[in-house]
Amino acid sequence: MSEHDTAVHDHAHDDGPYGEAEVHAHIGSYRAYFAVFMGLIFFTLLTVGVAGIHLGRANLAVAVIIASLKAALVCTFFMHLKDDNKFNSLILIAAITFIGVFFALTLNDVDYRGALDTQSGTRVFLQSGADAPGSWVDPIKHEEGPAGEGSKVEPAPTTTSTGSAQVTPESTAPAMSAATPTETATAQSAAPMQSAAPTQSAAPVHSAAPAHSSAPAHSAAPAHSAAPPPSAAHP
Amino acid sequence: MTEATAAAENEHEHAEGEEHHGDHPKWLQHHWDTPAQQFDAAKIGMWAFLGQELLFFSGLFVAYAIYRTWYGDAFAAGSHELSRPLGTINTCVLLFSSLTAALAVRSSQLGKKNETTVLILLTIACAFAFLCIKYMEYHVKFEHGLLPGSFFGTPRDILTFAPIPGATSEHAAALPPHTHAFFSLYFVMTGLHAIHVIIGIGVWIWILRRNLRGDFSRRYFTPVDVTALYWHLVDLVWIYLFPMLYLIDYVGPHKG
Repeated sequence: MSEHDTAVHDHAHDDGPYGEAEVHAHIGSYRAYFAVFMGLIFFTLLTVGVAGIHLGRANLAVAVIIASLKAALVCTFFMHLKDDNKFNSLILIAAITFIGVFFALTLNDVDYRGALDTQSGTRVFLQSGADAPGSWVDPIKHEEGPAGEGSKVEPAPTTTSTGSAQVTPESTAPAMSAATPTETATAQSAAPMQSAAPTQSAAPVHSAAPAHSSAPAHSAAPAHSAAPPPSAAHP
Repeated sequence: MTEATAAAENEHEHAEGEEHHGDHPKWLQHHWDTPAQQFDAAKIGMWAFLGQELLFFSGLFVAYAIYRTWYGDAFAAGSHELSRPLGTINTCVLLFSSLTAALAVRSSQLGKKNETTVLILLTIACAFAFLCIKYMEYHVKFEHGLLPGSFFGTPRDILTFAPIPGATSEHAAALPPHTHAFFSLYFVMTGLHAIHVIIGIGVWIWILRRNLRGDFSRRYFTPVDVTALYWHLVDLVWIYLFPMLYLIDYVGPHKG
């Protein structure tokens, strides 16, 4: 950095009786501080400008990268880490590392809580069809039926919005093929619901969807009201 | 105590001829051997505190990340209710106050007392300007009923928090469901940041008073330095808050 050349190197070695044990702070020049400030203003205007361009999900990444560049400028020059005891930088890096762990573990948990079952409005594991632990139910979506919004972990077929009252075997087929609940999971959950039908006979309910449309039969789920009509058609 | 240090302090007695407690300069606390030791310890202590502050704020940023994944469209809509011009101006005000804080440290390192006074006053003035602009923004949000959680949708008076009689919020009604979650995070994050600004103003006033009293010199400017570190951290948090809250353009997978 060229501004560095003009910095006042007033390390005050002879300033006090402690000699080398006096405080030896690097003193930057006015010009260097102003240059950093202008850089920060530039990045601020840049981030505002870039936010107006549609980049989809990249907008967030660009905003975070620009903010991190600004943060790096502040830490390096304004907070003197460049000329400081390296232990102070270590403390900052350690804090950032643990923030990374915090983000990674939490978002990993939130993103992989299973997929939304549009029939019941709850989240299930794709492999087993069982309720995902910590399953989070959106109360508003629950009332309005499967709106299919919000979660990026949803398998694409399940996002097809179907009015809960007009569920046909054809329309449930793609949704269920994504959810693929196992026989055991559905047998357990279906049993209390279909008191008239024996649990195992519930299996061939839908010819179009052999894997059970009524899979996670949550009695509390309003969307489940769609299930009985087809099951009644196949005694 | 080493012989070298003892010799140094004897020399110091002659050189300065000041009144000291024991053989230390007044500003060097008795449990430190040397000014450098005291300075390094103070800086490490401040950085440990700043590391804690970052982790403390990161909880809110994680909450933000989760809710934004869930309600991308509501966050975009909520963000568009904020004033980008005011947010940008406030960012520049805070960045400028960081510059004056850094320059205040520089002038105190050089022992320029009057220059330090002016720069600290500028920093405090910027902090007040930031809070005034923030107040203007909050005022509009309260008037439009853009409030956190269950308060969302009811216009309220910013000072008394009483509902404004007869006022209904068409603004809030037109927004997607869960926009209240965005405003919950907006108020908690900017509010917590504003509390840090207010604390910063208090500390700067104390530092200003000590500077006017002549506590600082080329050899001892640690309080100015660590206060500026805290002030830069307040700036750092805002550097992330600004694009996260004001500049969302992402409208969710089903619309984009």
